[in-house]
Parts: sequence; structure tokens; C-alpha cells
Amino acid sequence: MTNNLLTCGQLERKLSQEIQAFYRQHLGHQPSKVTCQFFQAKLAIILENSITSAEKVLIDEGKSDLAQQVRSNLDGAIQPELKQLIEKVAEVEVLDILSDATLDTGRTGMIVILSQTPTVRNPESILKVKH
Amino acid sequence: MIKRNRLKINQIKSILSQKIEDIYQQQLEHKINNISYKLFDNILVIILEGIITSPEKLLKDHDHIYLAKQVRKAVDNIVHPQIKEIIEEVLDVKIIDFLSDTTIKSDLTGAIAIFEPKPKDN
Repeated sequence: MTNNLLTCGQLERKLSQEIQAFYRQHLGHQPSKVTCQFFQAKLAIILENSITSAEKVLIDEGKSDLAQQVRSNLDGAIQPELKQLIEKVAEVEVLDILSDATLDTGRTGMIVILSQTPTVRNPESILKVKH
Repeated sequence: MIKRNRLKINQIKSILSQKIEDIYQQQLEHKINNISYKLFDNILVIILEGIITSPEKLLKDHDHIYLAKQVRKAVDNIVHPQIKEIIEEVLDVKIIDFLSDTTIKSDLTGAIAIFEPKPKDN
């Protein structure tokens, strides 16, 4: 039974791949890198190169405020499905998602608040604070 | 060596927490419940729990959630750059990206600080 469980690293990698595919499918743009890191009952997600071409065009045209508004609305629109995806892969309930993006660097950061730590083969790696 | 490093990290966390708590106490007369950290690669994740002030709670409880969110956005715009500066000062790093958000529902702020790798890390 325990052997069927993923390790924390495997679960983080699986989530990263699924989130990358999710963005490609929903926004037609694939972030170049997605990093996932569990700590206690939280999950940090960092997406590199997450800004779409349409938003880049707006920035280049000097319409950064509009691009920021578009980003904020896109994040809000995909959040319910992203929540479902995380719940399905990690098999834990998502209570809340905090999200922010920087248009200049193209980076998006999220902190997902979970109901509990996910069940993995090496739970000590989630509970301990890595330095 | 590991013990000494852990001691140093605990001291840094303690200094960071004190300085962040001071901002909320001095500028908002508000006491934060808890601050936790997660450091990996060149990334620091900070979670501040219990950040919503009494006036915001009052607004939320009286169906003025939109206004409470507006207030929080303005507060965050003032406070978060200060937290970013504190991290740079205490950890002696240059932050290249600072992503932060607050949820009134869960009463917490989360921030992700990404540092410029130091030459010795390359």
C-alpha cells in the first residue's frame, strides 16, 4: 500500500507537469518552468514565463495597467479549475489560493492553502523545514 | 557546522519576524498571530497569519467585503514593499521578484521572494 504512494518530490513533479499542461490548454501558452513545493499544509507554485503574447503586446503598447487587469482576471477565471486539478492530483481539499504575477519578469507565484498535508511516502519531508 | 547554520537561520527568522511584526504594530496597531517561513533554492516563502485589522473585520462582517478588499489592497501596497526591504536587509540579498497576495477569507498573507543568486551559489 505504502509502496504505491508517491514521494513528496514525485508528487511535486507530477503537479508541475499537470499545471504546465493546464496553462497550455486554457491560455494557449505554456509556462517555461513550473516549480511546486509542499510545506506543511501549503503548496507554493512558481510559474516562469507565464505571460501570454496578448499581454506582452499590451505591455509593449504602453498599456501596462490594462495588461495587469487582464492578468488579474485571467488568474481569477482559471482558479476554480486549477483548484480542482490540485485537489485531484494531491488528493486533498484546497481551502484558498493566493496569487500574484509580475508582468515585467513574467513570473506568477501562488500559495495554495490545503486542508491537510497530502499523503506521501515520505511525509517527514513536507513537515520538516528544509534549509 | 549544521547546528551552527541552524542557529544562524533561527536567528535570522527571529529578526525577520520581529521587524515584520513591528511594521504591523507601529503602522496599523495590529498584532500578527504567526509568521512562518520556507526557504528553498533561492526562494523564500513567508506566511503571515492573522493580518486582518479590526476595521476590516467590521467591514467584512457587515457585508462590505468589497470595501474591505479595497482597504486591504491599499494597506498591502504600503506594507509589502517594506517587508521586501526588510528581507533584503536581513538576508543580505537582492530580490528580483516579490509576489504577494492576501486572502481576507483565510485571514493570511502569503509572499514569495525570489533572490538573485549570489556569486558563491553559482
